[in-house]
Amino acid sequence: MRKVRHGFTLIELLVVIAIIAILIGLLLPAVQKVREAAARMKCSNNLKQLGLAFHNYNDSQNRLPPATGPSGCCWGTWQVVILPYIEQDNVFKLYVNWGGNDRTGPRYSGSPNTINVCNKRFNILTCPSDTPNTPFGGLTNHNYAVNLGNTGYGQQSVLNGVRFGGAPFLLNGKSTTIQGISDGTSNTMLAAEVLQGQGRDLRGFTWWGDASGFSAYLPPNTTTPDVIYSTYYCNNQPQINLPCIGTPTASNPSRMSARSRHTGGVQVLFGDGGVRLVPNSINIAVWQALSTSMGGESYTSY
Amino acid sequence: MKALRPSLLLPLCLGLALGCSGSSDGRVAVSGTVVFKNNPLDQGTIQFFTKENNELAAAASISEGKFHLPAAQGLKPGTYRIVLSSGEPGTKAPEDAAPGETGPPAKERIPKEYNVDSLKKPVYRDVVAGQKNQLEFNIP
Repeated sequence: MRKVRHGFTLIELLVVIAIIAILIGLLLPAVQKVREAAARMKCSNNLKQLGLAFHNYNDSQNRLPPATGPSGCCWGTWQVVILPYIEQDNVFKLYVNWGGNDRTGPRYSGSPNTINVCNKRFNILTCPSDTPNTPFGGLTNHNYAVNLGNTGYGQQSVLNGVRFGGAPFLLNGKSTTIQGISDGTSNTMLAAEVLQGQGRDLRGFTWWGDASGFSAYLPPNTTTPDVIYSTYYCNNQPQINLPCIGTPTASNPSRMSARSRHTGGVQVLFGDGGVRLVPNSINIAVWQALSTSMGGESYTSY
Repeated sequence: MKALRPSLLLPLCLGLALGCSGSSDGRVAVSGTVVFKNNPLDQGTIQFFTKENNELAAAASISEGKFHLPAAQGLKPGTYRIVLSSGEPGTKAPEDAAPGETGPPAKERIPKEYNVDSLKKPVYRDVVAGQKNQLEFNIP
């Protein structure tokens, strides 16, 4: 007996195709969301690794690394001395003249430091949600900055009435210890995400002093512009969360805020090693309190 | 069933009203203009500090004499100390070079009572609920 061969009608085919199209339409945005979620997990994992590195540094050196070396801006920041603790000891050994005690030797931006260290991109210090950038001659921007407290980059003792309450990271070779965080390690930030400025913008340029840390004077992802010391280095792009001005004044000094590409907040590494997403809507006073290491504030939640 | 309707509607409306007002946490939108030496201030920053405990409550950038704080980043009704700052343009770094030491900050254009002397001679402004908050500054 011959089997009767039954084909699809045109209508049936069209219906099937339409259903498949709708399903793909539903799936695509979900895939995009999953991508961002995966990127955010990677960024938070990077911060956890940094937390371990800071704790290991503190255990072996009996102090946290300083934000910048003894001579200030230009002879290396915490990002260089932490390298041995994120399994990049071989790169660290190639960095010459960290701290620049004579203020004359090679800077971060001079040979051989450029090719050996500062032109390299470290994945562990890069958040995949953000766009990578190299502002000058291949020198790299990165995505994590240490906590410089609740006033400006210069850690002013009082800024417009806001009193500096200590910070886990200090400038010019000075450093603190994890044991010295009297506000409690789970209430004090060690590091947070920052965005990489685009073009010759210096945000995220963590090889250099001013950009090595973030200021918690203003809340995360603030629409108020960051302050960079020269207009030449400020690429003002408020539409992509990178507003800046290039004219610091005494009451609006150089400072860079924590910023991210994640929805609703920035991820923050706390002193206890925990990584949490702090919402943009956080009360400014609470955010400032989280940045101080010895401020004595009494906030319990945010 | 008919008698039930109003009693059902009331909690619904109440919930809606509470839910919507809760999103901005009692904060209201604030905007305003800054005129400096008879011209709109081209660029600068305005900061609001609470009068009672001197906490930074909000900040905004001034562009072409205008600033605006949407309700989500706005202010709760109250009295605020104003800090206004605008640097004289001119701090220039050497072109096409990696950054080095930073120079001194730019010269402040706005009178001292609005910034460095703000704690000694404060300028206060009120933010009130339930009406448009338009703050005008005319700085000589």
